[in-house]
Amino acid sequence: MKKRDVAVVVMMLFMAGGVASAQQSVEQSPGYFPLEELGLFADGGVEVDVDIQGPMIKMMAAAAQEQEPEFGELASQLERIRVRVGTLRGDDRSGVEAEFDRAIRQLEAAGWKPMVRVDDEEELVRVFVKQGTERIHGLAVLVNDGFEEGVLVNIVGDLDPELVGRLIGSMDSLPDLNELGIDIGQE
Amino acid sequence: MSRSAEGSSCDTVLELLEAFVDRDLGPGEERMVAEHLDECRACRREHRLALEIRSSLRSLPEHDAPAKVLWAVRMTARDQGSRGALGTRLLRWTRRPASAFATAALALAVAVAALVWWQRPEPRPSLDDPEIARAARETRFALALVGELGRRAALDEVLGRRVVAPTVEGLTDALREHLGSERPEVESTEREDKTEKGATG
Repeated sequence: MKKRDVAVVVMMLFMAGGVASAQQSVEQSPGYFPLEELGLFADGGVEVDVDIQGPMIKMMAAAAQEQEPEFGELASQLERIRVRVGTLRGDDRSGVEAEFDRAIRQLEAAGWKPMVRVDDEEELVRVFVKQGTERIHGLAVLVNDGFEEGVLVNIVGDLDPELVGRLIGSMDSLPDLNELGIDIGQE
Repeated sequence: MSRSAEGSSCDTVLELLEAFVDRDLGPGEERMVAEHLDECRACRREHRLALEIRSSLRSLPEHDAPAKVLWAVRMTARDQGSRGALGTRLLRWTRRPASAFATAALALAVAVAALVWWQRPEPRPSLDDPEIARAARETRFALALVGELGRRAALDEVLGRRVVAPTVEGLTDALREHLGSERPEVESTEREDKTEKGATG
């Protein structure tokens, strides 16, 4: 094989490698969990399905860098945000609770660690974290509101725990929920 | 076979008849066929028949060829013409020693163009863009939800351990004082035990 042919082959391999790397799916990220697999929502019960990823997250991060540097920095560490809101599966309260418990076990079996737990008469809440040695790979939120409506969230990225904590702490209340059609029983 | 005055035979005329009908003959041949047709009845009949056939064919409706047929024709044409394809010709051209410099120059030009395109200034995204603003709002919601739930859990913890439990303890102490006993429920249990022991003993 001539030198020029070798150079062409090397260049093609390099380009092919770049394209493959760019197309690496966020689904491979340790912080990703397919919310659909939890099977918590009734058939046709999903009312809100938010899925932000790829170029949109990059644009959001770039846009926020100047106006809100801290949010922009965190956004640059994000890979994907999913929010699903809808009617929970289950014929009655005990049925919904059983489905919720099953989903919790499913997440725990996938290596997610429980971080926040609220059990009361009106709602069950779990916040799970998938943590690396120094970074947070993902957060998963399960809210069972009134044993009728549910909210599931999956935040995927390579996140700085301090930054996440600082930013979350700076948010006084849930913003603009009505615009998203979400009501989780805010007080 | 008949022969005209100028020597044109029916066979020759019949061979040229289709081209004559299509007006594809040169002036000399056209004149020769026309003169023969004036003189030869048999060939005139053939000429008339040819005109009728052409007229009938033209009156037929037009149909598009089926896609499969077109595809097959294109593939056949491509296979037959592949030796002359642009890519093959370019590849062959680049292998000529004389073309090496030109190839290098072309590659350099493409690389420079790609670099310029790659480094062109992108329009800066803004939070004023409705799509980006919505994504930011939804991201904030997801983060705020985690914070809100964390605070609520912490509040439950605080209320449970620091407010509810001390209040219950205080009430219990007050009750004990009111009853004049430090351990009313224990004593009552002990009293029941003694009663049971007395009954059995």
